[in-house]
Amino acid sequence: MDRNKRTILEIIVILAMFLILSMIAYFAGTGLAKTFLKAGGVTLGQWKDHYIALVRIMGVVACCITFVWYFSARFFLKITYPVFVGKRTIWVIIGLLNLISCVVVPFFYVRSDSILKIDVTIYLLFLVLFGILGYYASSIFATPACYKYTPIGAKSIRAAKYKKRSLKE
Amino acid sequence: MMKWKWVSYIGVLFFILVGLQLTGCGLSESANNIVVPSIFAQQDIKKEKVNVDVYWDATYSMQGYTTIASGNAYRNLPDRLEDVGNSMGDTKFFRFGETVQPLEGREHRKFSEASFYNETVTAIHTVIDSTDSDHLSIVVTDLFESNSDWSNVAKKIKEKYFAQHLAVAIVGIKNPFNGDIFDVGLDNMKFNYNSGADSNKYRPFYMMILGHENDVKEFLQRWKDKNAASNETQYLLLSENLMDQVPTLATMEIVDSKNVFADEKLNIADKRMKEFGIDAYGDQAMIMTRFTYKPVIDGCKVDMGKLKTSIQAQVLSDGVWQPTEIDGDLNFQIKEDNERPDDYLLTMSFTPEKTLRKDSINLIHAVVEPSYNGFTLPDWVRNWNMENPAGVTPDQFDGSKTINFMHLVQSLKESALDAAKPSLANITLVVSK
Amino acid sequence: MSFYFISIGGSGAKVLESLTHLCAAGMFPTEEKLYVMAIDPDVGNGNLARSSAALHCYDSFQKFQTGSHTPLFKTKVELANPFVWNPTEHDKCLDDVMSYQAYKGTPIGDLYEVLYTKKERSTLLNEGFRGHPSIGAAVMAKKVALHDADGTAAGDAEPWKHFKLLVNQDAKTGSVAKIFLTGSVFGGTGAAGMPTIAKLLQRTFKTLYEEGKVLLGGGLILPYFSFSPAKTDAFSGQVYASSENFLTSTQAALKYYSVKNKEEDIYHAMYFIGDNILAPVQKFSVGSSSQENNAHIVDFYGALAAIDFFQSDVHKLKQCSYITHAEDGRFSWSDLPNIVLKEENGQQITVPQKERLAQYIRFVFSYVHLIKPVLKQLSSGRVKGYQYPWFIDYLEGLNIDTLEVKNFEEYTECFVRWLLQLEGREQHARNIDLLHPMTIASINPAKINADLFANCITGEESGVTIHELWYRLSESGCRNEYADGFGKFLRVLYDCCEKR
Repeated sequence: MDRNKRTILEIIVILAMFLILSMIAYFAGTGLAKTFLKAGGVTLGQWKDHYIALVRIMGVVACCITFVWYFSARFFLKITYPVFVGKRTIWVIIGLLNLISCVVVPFFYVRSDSILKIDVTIYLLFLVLFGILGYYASSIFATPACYKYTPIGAKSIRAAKYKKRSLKE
Repeated sequence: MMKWKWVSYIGVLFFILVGLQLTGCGLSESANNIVVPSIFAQQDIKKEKVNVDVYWDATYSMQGYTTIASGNAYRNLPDRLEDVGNSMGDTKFFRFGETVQPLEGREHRKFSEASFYNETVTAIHTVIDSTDSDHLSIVVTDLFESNSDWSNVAKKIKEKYFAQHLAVAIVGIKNPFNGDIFDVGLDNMKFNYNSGADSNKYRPFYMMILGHENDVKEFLQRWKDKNAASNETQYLLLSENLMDQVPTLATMEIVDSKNVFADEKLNIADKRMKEFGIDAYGDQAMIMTRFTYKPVIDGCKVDMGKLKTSIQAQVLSDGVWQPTEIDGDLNFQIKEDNERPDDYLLTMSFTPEKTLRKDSINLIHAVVEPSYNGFTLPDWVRNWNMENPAGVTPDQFDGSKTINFMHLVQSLKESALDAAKPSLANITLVVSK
Repeated sequence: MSFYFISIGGSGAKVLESLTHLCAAGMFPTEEKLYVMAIDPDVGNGNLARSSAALHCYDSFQKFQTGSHTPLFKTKVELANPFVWNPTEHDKCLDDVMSYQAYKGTPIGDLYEVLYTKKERSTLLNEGFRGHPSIGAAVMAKKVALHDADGTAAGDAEPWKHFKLLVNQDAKTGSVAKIFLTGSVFGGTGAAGMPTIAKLLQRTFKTLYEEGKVLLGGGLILPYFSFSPAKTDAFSGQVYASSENFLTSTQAALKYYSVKNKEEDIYHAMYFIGDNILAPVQKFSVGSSSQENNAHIVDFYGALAAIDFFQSDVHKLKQCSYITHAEDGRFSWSDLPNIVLKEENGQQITVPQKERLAQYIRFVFSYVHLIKPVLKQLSSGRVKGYQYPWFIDYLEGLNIDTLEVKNFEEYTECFVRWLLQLEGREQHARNIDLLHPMTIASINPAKINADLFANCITGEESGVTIHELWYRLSESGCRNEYADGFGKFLRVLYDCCEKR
């Protein structure tokens, strides 16, 4: 597969991943809502209508932040000298930004929405799905080759795959 | 080639997911096609026009109310009734004795004349049979009935009105009286009574108002508005509602809950029934609500210390609510809210797993109602009552009171309690599947 | 077909240096082995030391398994043992070699005295023949033990014994042995050796020669540099080469070859390479290690001549061809001849010199710039491997502290130095326009200007930036099943340097 096709594939993979994670966040969040929604408050149906908007926004934000890493690694972070080529610090910083957004975005969204009330479990859900799974898994599998082992743990997964494929060939 | 196959698979999957996302297919859990019937009687709709039927006791014992002019509220009663009646709708007058006869034109004005009273038998039970329960019926009488007669009347009122979620009000007006009073005592003696101009001796006559509660209340309000009470006037309203607006989940504040959340999957037209969902069926669920007790105007007194609660689980089967046969752990309690006077906290708890039938739409109905001893008549009823002992002498006879009045009203109260089951608060939960 | 290369003297050694690099770059037409030996009485000659250093490095790391179907390190070399054949012994003069004392007073001795001055006869030959081909010719004729006077096999004199064995083996297997000699015609050793060794070879392999199973080519280097001896006491009274005599020596030599080759048909192909603009040598030296002239385009052409000889059919060898350059005062890629590759199926394909060499240059540059600075630290764990995907993919767990890797790294330094000298604008009057002038930032250690990497080859925008190379290195795999170890990594690096 040539590089352009691989790039398109990786972009599709990232988008698909966040779409799936958004759906998981929606269904899981709906389940969690039953534990903290009070009988005297909004109905579950009303809550879900507002929650899905939050999930969409969160999914888009996390996906965009992930794409910041992806496009940086793919197009902008150039290597000219064999020093400071890991860029792990940048990866970590973007990851932390993503984690922060998983808290900040719902916090401010809930403040602006009178209907939607969320519990700490929703924050945790977002942190796990969008912050960790989404960003981390995307960066493990879809980081461009130049920095393919930059994400922590990527070496164990991708190097094993690569060596397996080389042996096969 | 193989690799492109996977690319195309992922692409197709991606677009399917996008499509699902956009159309929202599979994301909504809708069960809106199930119609959930109400357990409450249809709420009274405020009618634009209420037909008023006035049934006038034309027996001789009513003559005495027309004789003394000074301080007489009875003589112009026909006009006043017509006035209030016409403000509500069409007014028709009837006279009754043993039978009920309609009056035409302005004939009803003759009720202010003594000569118009020539009936010998007061058959209120006939009047009750004649009334149209959709109309507002007003019976003008002195309520001078024997126990046995009245039991029949009370029974009919119970069946026709209280059991059908309708209301009965009694307006008592003290009026100057000079005339004969018949059937006093067990020996059915006749006494002549003259109150003169002494208002303390005025004799009461009554308007018994029967019909839809809203109509009855409307009449009472208009009557009060249009008629400044020159004579002592008392009111009593008997209905299934002990407050102007019975608290339900539509109006009560839900203070706290556990393992329960509001939901909107079912199509419930009656807003007094609320739908909830259960988070964990194995855990106990609890709802705590608060309501403020505001006694209904002109109603019976409720002793808030003597209340009884009842709670029942039902299941929707073939479009009808039916009691479940499950022994659950339903619990329903009421207690005063220490922080807010006049407020009471209702706590309902149950374990869904033990109480609700699985894969069905369940209903839990909890009611707060006064106990028999906690639902008492206002004092004026006692004050206006005279027992009907045997062998009463004229000097013992008090014409300013009504013989057996207490008994009459008590029986109406009991009928209301028994048939209408007046409640202080209603909590109705519908739990979806 | 087997290839033999014999460098004679300092100029020959410089051609050998260029040939080594072309060998490593896969410029040879086939995957035949190349047998290499050098002839130089000045064993410590700086040029020889430099060229044999690169060659010895290559001999070491050519074992890397780069796999099949790649030009990288395609041609394997076999070095003669001993690699440098010294016709003289240490601290001997011509009198000693010719055993003058035995012939003194005889007619031969008298003739000998007439032909050589006393100075020539008594000068120690440790530093070569000092620009006196007459001395060299005599010594070589005496010492090359290819055969005895009666034509029987020589004694145990290596490396000629093994050389003869190899050539005969080729003949037995039906192969053609192509022997290429190269040396200057204006110096001492080269001028002496070129005709002498050629004649000796022709005589030794006479039968094979006549059958066409041995082909002889000669790269005759004409003057291309000049020097001015320092007028110091150190050099007064000594015998040394003089650049003022180069042209006259060349004229005489060319006349000789013209006559001799017509008569005796010694060389099947002769390549004359020189430069009318003589590059000034900065530091004069009589010989030994201080005699180290920078690489020159003439050396490069000499190596190309050798390749042309190796790749040409015997029928084409007798053709007379000129090679020139398009612009006066400038050499560019278009001035270099194409190379002809012979496929396994016998088909021949012509590949532009630039294409093959450009990739190889980028390969060495990329190694020097990207790999070498960090390899040891990566191997020892001082630097985290995740930053270098190529290390994880190809080199993790490999022992790179081997002689072969060291030799390869040494070789890369040699190559960069050679390129810089080739391009050197200070010493040449010519503009050698093969590389972007600022590409090589420094040598020892070699440093490349990373920003110019993609366009380091003049007239070419390869698009292979350092980043692009890194990317390719990280994403590609080696699909050749025969590539293994460090060689596999080098193969991948080489493939990534291709202009796509």
